Amino acid sequence: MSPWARFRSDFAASHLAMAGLLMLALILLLALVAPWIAPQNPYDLGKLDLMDARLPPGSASMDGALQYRLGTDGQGRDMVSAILYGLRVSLLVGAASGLIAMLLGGGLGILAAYLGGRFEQVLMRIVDIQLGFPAILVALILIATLGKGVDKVIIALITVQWAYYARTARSAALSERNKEYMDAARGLGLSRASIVLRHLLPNALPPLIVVGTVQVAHAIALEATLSFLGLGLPTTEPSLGLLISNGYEFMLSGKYWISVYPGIALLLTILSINLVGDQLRDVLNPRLAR
Amino acid sequence: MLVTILRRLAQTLLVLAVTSLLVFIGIFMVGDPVEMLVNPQADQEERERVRVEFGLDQPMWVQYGRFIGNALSGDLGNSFVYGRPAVDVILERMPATLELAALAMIIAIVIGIPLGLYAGLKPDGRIARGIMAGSILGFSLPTFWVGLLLIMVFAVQLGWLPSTGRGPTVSALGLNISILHWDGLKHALLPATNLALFKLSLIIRLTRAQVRENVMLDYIRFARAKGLPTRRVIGVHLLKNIMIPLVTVIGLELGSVIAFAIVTESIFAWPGMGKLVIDAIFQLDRPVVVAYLLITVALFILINLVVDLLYAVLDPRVRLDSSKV
Repeated sequence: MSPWARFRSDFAASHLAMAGLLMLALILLLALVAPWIAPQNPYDLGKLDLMDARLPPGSASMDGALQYRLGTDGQGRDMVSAILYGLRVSLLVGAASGLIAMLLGGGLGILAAYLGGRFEQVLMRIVDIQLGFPAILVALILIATLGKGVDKVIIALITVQWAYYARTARSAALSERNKEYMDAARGLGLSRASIVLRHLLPNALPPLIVVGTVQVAHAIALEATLSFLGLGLPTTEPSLGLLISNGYEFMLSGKYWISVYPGIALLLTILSINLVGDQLRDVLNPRLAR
Repeated sequence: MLVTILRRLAQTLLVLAVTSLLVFIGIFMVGDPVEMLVNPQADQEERERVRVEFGLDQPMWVQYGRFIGNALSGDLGNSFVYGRPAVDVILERMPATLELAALAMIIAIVIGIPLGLYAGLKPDGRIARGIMAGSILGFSLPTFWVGLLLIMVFAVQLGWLPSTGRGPTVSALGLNISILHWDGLKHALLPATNLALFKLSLIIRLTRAQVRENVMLDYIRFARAKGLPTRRVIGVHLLKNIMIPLVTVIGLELGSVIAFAIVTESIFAWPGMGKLVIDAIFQLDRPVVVAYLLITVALFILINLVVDLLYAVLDPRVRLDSSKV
């Protein structure tokens, strides 16, 4: 059996993980095609009708043209459309920050393992110290000092995540460094860059991917939390967190749908990523290799 | 041991200095603090007077030096909003946050360790699988959203518990504590549960992993072979050994609970320092933001230090290692 086929069958052994994968695929698809399937463009304020504000799920719009299956928010936005578009924002911010953090942290971690010495010591000390602080506090320090905005939120999310990648990449690279194939590559007289990029990196990748899935879920949750606190993304293109936050004021008067449905979308997104990540960790863990 | 402590203390000071520099540059250099300090209608002369009075006309390193000097003597400036020293404003609110964090941690430990033990001892059972699935769910639930749901269900629909505020407090040991008062406890229950949820999942998973590793080890098999009752093997032999990593993680997580209280306090309008700092950020009350960040970072470093030392006390192997260094 090829490694890829074995990986697939190992992964599929858990029904829960497969369900998570399916759910994740569906969510990604929905986010991708949102502009074509959403009943309305929630960002186009001209299209919104304040007469339609806070309608319960299932009501029709005042002009009868539209049915609000999940109700409307305080500005008369169709919740289905708002959630689909919000999903795009949340996933994009989570994935972008995760990817940049992985490249940055992973690169630094592998470099630290390869170079060793002072560079490794200082870098790992910084990682240790930063990981001693919870993500929300680090993000809060950054947002409080840098100010608000999409770029700032992404910077904060990258800062929060890079250390995890750096630590994982370093330890993975350290355990690979002395293996025979590395000796072989060195013996062949390959260039340093080629050894690191073509031999060390691919083999250090599995643990990074595992950390990556968990971190993307964390990033999405953290962005939602910051947006909920009013420190995240701008209100013009609301992410899921902001949608939930917008519904907060109506919650006490029993208008649950404005907060509850975006929350379910957020929960399903994070849950599906975590289910996939959990199984990936088991499958890719060499200590549990069959 | 002494060397370890000294080294950690030096590192602590370094981290505090770096944080203070970061916060200082961020808060004091971005934008013009004078705008924050004067009446918007003030004329140029008034602005200049304020600039000189607060030393804002000095070069940056002089300002930083003064900021550090004041900080060392416990003076981080007056709150713009409250007109009192920022440190006092924060410290006043700290007991409420600590109380909430402690209650949340207790809930997480009291429920989490037994569930984790069970899931670890019978890993293939139906209930254990249910516990583990529940813990993944607990990891995935956005804390603030759960807070909203708790308010909606228990406060709005059922009306069992109050949704916001702290309720009456009882004065004990010079602090105002609300969980000693029945009504106060009722106020604390929802936010503490909300805060506990994530840690509960963490403790379940950690306990289970520890149990599964330890039940295979010789000392457990030996204890069983000796014919000790299962209750004693689990309750004394196993529990003692899994406690070391658990205590470490619980200690470190206490800090993160304090930080995450920012979110919970905002939802439940709990008058702790987390709610205070969010309000301060919106009101541009810079001294309070700075004081909060520095005090929390200091608190954090202190917690990490204590946990490290505790770890050495609990685990003889660590003690031996550090004496060799």
